[in-house]
Amino acid sequence: MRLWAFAAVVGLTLFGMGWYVLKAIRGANPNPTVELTALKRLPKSALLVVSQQEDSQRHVQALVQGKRQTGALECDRLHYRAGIMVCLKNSSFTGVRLSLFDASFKLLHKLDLVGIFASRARVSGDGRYAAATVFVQGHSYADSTFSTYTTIVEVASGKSLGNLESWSASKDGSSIKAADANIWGITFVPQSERFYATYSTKGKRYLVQGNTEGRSFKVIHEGVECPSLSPDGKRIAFKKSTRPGAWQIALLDLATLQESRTAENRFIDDQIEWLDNTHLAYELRLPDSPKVQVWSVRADGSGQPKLLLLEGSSPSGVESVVGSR
Amino acid sequence: MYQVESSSQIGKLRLAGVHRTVLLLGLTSFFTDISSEMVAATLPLYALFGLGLAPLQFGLLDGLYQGSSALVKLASGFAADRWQRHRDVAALGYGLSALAKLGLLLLGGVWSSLIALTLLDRIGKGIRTAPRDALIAANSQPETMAGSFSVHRAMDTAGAMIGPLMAFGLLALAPQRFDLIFAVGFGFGIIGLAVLLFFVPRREGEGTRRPVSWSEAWRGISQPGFGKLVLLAGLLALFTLSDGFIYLQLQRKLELPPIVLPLLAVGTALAYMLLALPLGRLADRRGRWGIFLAGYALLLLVYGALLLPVKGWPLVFMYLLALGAFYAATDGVLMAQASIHLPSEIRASGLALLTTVTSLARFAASLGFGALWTWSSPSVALTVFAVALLLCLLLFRKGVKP
Repeated sequence: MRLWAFAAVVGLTLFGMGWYVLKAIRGANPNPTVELTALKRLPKSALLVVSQQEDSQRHVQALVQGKRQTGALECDRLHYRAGIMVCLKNSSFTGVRLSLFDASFKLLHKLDLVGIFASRARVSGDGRYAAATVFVQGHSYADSTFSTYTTIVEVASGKSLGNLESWSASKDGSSIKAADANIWGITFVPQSERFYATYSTKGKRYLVQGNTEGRSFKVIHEGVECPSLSPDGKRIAFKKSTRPGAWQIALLDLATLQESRTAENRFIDDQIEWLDNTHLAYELRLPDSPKVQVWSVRADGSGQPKLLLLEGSSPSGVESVVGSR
Repeated sequence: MYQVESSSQIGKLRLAGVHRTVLLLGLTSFFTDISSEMVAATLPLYALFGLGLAPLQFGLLDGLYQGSSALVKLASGFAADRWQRHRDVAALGYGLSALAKLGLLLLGGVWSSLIALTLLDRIGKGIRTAPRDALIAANSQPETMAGSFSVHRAMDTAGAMIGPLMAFGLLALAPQRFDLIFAVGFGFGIIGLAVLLFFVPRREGEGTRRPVSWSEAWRGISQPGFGKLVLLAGLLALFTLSDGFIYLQLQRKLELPPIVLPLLAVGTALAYMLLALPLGRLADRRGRWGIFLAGYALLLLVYGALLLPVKGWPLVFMYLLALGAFYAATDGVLMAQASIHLPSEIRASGLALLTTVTSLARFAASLGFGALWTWSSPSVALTVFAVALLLCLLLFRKGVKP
């Protein structure tokens, strides 16, 4: 008697599980109609995003004059400059895959990165370097905390410059390199060997200037996270921490080191993208929800934030001219 | 010395030298571990990737996950003893954890419910562990106590290995569908609970039938033999490094590709599962305390090997074997030894006390190790731990007389 009751419970449970799983598998991976076959024909005003729509999970999309075109490529983070696209894709088994594509979506190089999921991706304005930041679990002594792994890849050769945490770092001439260093948010200075990044150590978040030739970092300012250099190279848009775990958009003038704000007051966690010298684009994550939107705001603090896309992430401009001003 | 019940009562229900109830408890743990390890393995991905939580929020979640089961252990152990309802209290624990998976399926999209449901799941785990171990002890002969616990632990570990594999398999078939993980996890949790409720007898094989009073409980726990055992086990746990850290050091030292990290955990679990029964039986025959210390000696070897400049990736197998053997020689064997010291009426309370002390000690070990690492270096920290462990092994050679 007991055995029958048990068998009934188990049978019902297995049936329920099986039905639910099969329904999910059958509905998974619907291949959307591919309209975006090449990036080189996109107008300068186009916006590239990773789709967050239900029916085109994580496919690259281009927003052209208010209409979306979906590509075949799937990414979790992307960035596009000077005909080179960097695409980061999370994989349960191999970590994060970094792929470099040209403007026809031809695969140039790929690299598997340590880490459990992709955080930031950037291509330099001259298309020579790509950078990626991934989250790694267990880098520090406490298993549950996360740290980052950031690397820079030479686009031509596909070779990585290794873990940037091994580079030297100095502030006002003395070394600040420590075991707890974390680096993220690379933004390149085109036509040079320099880039900016966040260097975090002993509880401080520094804006550093890095040098790929000298493999070194130099502190420029403090309290700057996830910098993004403007096309004219004069300002940096960054995340300013207003309380632990919450950031707002801020701007730093590199000449005067003065900070300023934009009209966007909500909490933003993204590496800001410059659409041109005046307009910024960024992800906005709705509180307590997986929904992500893409918004835009003027860098000079005027106007109001403008919604560009419901359901999209990782916005990237389509600058096709090297170092355009 | 407290005797467990006479062999004639339970002799006729044995299977493979182990009582049928122990096997059933093993089966319950098998299914429940598939369920909980499926969720545990994918929770980081879900929190960060599916919900977009910041790492700080996840750190909070993870800390809660690791630590909250300790809160209820003592209370539930005592409740189980006081009313002699070990199976029912364990069932409550298994039920709460299963309910938590259902909750994740229905409500898991919001930060606050994620916290609440994680707490529910871990409280369920805290509730069931000691009563279940007391049930294992109550259904075993003293001569084969370690063997019984080892069988249970082996089945438990088998489930823990299957869980993550199933979870990632599901995600590969239906990407981003974390709700599948919760649904399937809930299903396995229900099956495990069903095994317990339908087949594990409520009151079989327990010493006395009358409820236990506070003073009896206190007298039972505070006798010097058991107290010393808790102290020694706690001290050894104080110098036990967490797996995660050992794997990380291993990966860096031998320059292994990072994809290896989850595989290291699977390797250790496999070694644990295969060695549990042989080492458990050996412990029963040759002395439980000796095998227990031998396990810690293996851990000391692992520390030493991490410090020495030995290279070459084939060494990985040696490390995993040593770690797996460490768990096989210490985990179930300690519970077995403790069970011998405790009268059956207050066994759940005693075991709950023991595991609470060792959990706290391991937590302190993580903090201490981290502090040493930050102030000096990983090598210094490891050396301190190795020396301390060596001292403990030398001092505790004699063990504890029951």
